Amino acid sequence: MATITGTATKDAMDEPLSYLQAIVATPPLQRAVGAGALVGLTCACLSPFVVLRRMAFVGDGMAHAAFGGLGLGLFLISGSRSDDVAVQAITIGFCLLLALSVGLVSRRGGHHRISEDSAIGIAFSVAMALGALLITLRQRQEAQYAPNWEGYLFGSLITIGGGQVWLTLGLAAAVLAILAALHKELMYYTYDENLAEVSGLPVSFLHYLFLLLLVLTVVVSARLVGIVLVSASLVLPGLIALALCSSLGMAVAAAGLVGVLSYEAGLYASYVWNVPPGSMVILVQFALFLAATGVARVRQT
Amino acid sequence: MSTQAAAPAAVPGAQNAGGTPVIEVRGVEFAYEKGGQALSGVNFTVREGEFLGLIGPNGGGKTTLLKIVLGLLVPQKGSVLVLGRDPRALGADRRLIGYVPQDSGVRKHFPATVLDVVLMGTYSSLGLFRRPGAKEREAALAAIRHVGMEGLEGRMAGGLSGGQQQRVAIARALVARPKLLLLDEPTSGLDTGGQAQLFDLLERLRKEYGLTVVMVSHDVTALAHFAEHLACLNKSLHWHDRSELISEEVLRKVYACELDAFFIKHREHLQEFHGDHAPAGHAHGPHCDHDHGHDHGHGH
Repeated sequence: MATITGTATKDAMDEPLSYLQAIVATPPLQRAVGAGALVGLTCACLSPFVVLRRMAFVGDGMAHAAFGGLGLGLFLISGSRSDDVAVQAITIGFCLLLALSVGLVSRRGGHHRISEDSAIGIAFSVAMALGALLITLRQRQEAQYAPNWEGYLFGSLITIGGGQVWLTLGLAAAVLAILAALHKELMYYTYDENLAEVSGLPVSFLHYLFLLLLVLTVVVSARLVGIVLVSASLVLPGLIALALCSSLGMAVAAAGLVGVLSYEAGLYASYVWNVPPGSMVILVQFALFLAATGVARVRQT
Repeated sequence: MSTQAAAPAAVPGAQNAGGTPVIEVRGVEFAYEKGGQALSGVNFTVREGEFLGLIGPNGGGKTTLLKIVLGLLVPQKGSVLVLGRDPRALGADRRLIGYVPQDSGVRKHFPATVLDVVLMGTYSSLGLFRRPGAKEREAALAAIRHVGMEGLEGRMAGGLSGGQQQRVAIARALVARPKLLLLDEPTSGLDTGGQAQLFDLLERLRKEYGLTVVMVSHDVTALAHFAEHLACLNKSLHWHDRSELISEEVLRKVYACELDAFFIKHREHLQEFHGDHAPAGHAHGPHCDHDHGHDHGHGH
């Protein structure tokens, strides 16, 4: 019933079911609905910070770097599948290492300081190249292994396992707990890093903590919804919320709401029209973004 | 009187042995990795309650010096003491240094009201996990009143005028109850009226809070009117103690900054003010030995 790109199709059903009936009847759809909401929520709650700190490219770069980690995991562990825990762990480790090097090179650079966007640009493309190479090598070792290229790029929400849902739940809980606990520190850090440091806040700690949250979110989410959708989900809900809200706390909450709603709307549309959910989620978010900018314009005048 | 002991090699500012030193900079050298020497052989002392105006051409190292005093940059040579301690080791006492950055640090698109921004000044003393409560709110509102922004606490900070943003930035610094206030080009975006208001405000705050103020600016005229001391920084900083009012000629020289630097004690009323604890010839104290041989090239 689910194609490789994860279309939530109803074609296989003899009688057309309503969306709710379909959810009740099909566990994969239940998992997609649950994990989609959690991924949407987690990415969206980080997105106001990503937007204000101009880190969209960091998220994008890490999402692509995850592909390199995936290739590495698949190559190192023979017989593994992309959703094995060990492969995920290698992917996360790989991305953390990459993020750390990017952070080090761009933040406390030595004589040959490279700007952050250049460093990410390098990491991003090298990791993708490495991933593609290693997956091909893996295919040579094991002829029957068929890599799910499209799934990596555009996700496969419909084909995820139960373990993934729990992982996503744990991630969402951790990210929300940290955002709540360090709200004022992250706010000051996002507002002005130098001022926050001068006032005595542990800015380096906050910098790497946020990078860690971002990497974990991106890696876990990219496996479910694909690189492209993760990049969008880290930016659009934040832009929507920031256009409408007058405090950062409100913006985080509003972005979270936008995240959950857009994922659910995207899944629903994908079920009804038999199209990939990822594109629908992005289009829903983009429509909301246009509406929000319109509202902000009208309010200004 | 220490003036008499002030040999040519004495540290500028030390002649005025009035108050406790708040900033002591000794032999500071700083070079950027790519841009070459930014500061060389910088010595000075700022004492409690003083208002030092720091002027100099762009690239002369003014902001670099401020960042060193703030502990954001570490000099390759020399020592810096702020409130008697290494500024990098102040820990939670960093709040004692108030900082108003060049662009006032107000982010245009950041969703925060005036009150939100001023409350940020209380964050570091709250410690991790604690949120600002009624007490912090009260302190923030008091600081907002102090800078004359009463009634605007609910406005979005990003939508304010340049002068108002400066006031918000000063209020944020004040709410942490600092002993030292560092301002980087606070008058750059302001019209003449706004500048006069800002200086009046600083003068008032200095008296009320006993603040020590260091202001970086290239607006010599304004600083010459309000600052108690003027120092000119063009890579190196040399000091004169002068008793006469600032003259057209001196201003011109300072503007150009071709000569090393000037430390000018000027304005009669300020001399009177200092006459209490440093009588007689302190202002006529020996001029610093000038090392005219140093390189005048601009720093980074």
